[in-house]
Amino acid sequence: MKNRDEMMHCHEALAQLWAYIDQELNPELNERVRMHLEMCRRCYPQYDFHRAFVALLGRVDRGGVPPTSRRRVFERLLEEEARGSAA
Amino acid sequence: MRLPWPWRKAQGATASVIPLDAAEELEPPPPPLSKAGFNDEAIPHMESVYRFALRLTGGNEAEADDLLQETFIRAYRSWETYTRGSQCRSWLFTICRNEFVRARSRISAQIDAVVLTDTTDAEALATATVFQEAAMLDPEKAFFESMIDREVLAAIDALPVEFRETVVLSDLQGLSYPEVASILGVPVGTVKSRLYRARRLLQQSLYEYAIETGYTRRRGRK
Repeated sequence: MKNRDEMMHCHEALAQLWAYIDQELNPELNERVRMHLEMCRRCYPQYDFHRAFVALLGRVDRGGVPPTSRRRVFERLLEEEARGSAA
Repeated sequence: MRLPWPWRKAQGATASVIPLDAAEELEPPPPPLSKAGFNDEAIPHMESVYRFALRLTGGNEAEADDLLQETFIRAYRSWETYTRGSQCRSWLFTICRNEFVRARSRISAQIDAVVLTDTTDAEALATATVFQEAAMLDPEKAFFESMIDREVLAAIDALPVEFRETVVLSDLQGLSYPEVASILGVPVGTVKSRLYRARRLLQQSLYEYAIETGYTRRRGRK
């Protein structure tokens, strides 16, 4: 188990915060950030808030393709297909 | 041979009795295409590509419609170059983005002109403190629950294109840093830099929205 001397400083943890939220850190660095956030009452609320922000972005854009747009794509593909057959 | 909409011969007698007006509102089935695998691998990603196109064009539905068509036509023409079973969605995003840049050369010039460096610790720290006040005052994160999707999308659409495309691919489409870097043709460090700046800009924009709607007050006021 790591002792407190090995604990990451706040500025180091905050510098990695987005990458931590995005799960893009290597396992060792990920663990160090996780340990810091578990222990730090100042950094954890920021982590929690930014994580909620990223989650918000992930759920705002769920619209489908308008049927008319989908139909136009298919019509263009069939034209392309016919052009290829004629060549 | 080209079949008439909605490919009545291919769909059988049931489809042929659907009135044209009603058929216009239905989701059309994929057309019968001769290139193997295109319907199975590429067509299912049309929704993701459309949403990407819509955000690239800043919410312009007509431009997104054109971009969607060009993307799938170019994908169909070069289908032989695609490795079956690989990352088809990313491949389509790459085509879509290239087509967007090609069609709007002024955007390309703008992207080229932007010189971005990797995120420094100081920048990351600044990003983390933009919403410090809100984070401290809002432990339940009710602020985000109050956000209306269209306000968030409008804030995204207002971002500079190099930030917008990065945040859309990463946060709306859920791609990894290396995947985004591959699609945009930039180093991973540039993706990180653009993504973190985009998020900071979005947070600032939504913070202003929260003030306008009375959810919170500016810092320093009681």
